Amino acid sequence: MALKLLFFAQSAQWAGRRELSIPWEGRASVADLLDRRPELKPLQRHRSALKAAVNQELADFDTEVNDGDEIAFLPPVSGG
Amino acid sequence: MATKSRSCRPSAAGEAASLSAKPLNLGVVMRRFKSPRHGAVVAFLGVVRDSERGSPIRSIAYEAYQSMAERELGRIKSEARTRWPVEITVSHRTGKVAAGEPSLIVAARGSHRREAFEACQFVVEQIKARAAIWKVEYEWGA
Repeated sequence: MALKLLFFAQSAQWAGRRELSIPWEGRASVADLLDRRPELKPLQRHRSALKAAVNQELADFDTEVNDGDEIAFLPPVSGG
Repeated sequence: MATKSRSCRPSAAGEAASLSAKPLNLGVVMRRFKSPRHGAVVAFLGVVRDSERGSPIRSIAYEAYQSMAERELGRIKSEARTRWPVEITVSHRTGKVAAGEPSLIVAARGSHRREAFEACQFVVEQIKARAAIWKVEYEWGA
C-alpha cells in the first residue's frame, strides 16, 4: 500500500521534510511507521510532543493505517 | 503543498474560507457579518505583538494544515451555535503577519450581548487549543 505522510511546523524541521510518500507492506499503525521508517527516526525523540492525524482526524499512535491514508505529524498547536 | 492557503475561497455553503493568506480587515468582515436582525455583534482581533519574551519582533509566519484546520474551525463554530443562539464568523491568517496586524478575527452575532460575548470567547479559546495552525517563524527586530 502507499501512504502519504505530512509534517507541519516543528515536525517538518525535525523530519527535514514536509511531505513523504512511502510504500508499505502488511498491517501498520502510526507507531509502526515511526519505529520502522528511517526517515521518521528524527521524530522519535519528540514523540511526547507530537500528535498524529489520519485523514485529517486526530488519531492515537496505535491507529491502524490503510492504503491511501494521509498521516500527519503535528506539534502542539499555536494559532491565534 | 498542503500548507498553501487560498484566500476568501467560497465554501460549499457560500461562506468565505476561514483561512486566508491575505491581510484581514475587520471592516470588511463586519460589513459582511452585521445584520439588523442581530442586536449584538462581538468581534475579537488577535493581533501580532511587537515583542516576544522581551525581544522586539517584526512579524510572525503562520502555517496551517489547511484541510484539517478548516474542518476543526467548522466544528468549533457548530459547537458554539449549539451552546448559544448565535452565528459565528472566523478568519485566521496564514503566512507572514506583521506586528500590529491581525492574525485572527472572530465575531459572534446574536440577539443579545451576553450570548455574543460568551460565544466569541469560547470560539477564540477553542481555536487556540484545537486548530491545526502554528506560529512557525519569528522575524526578530524592531
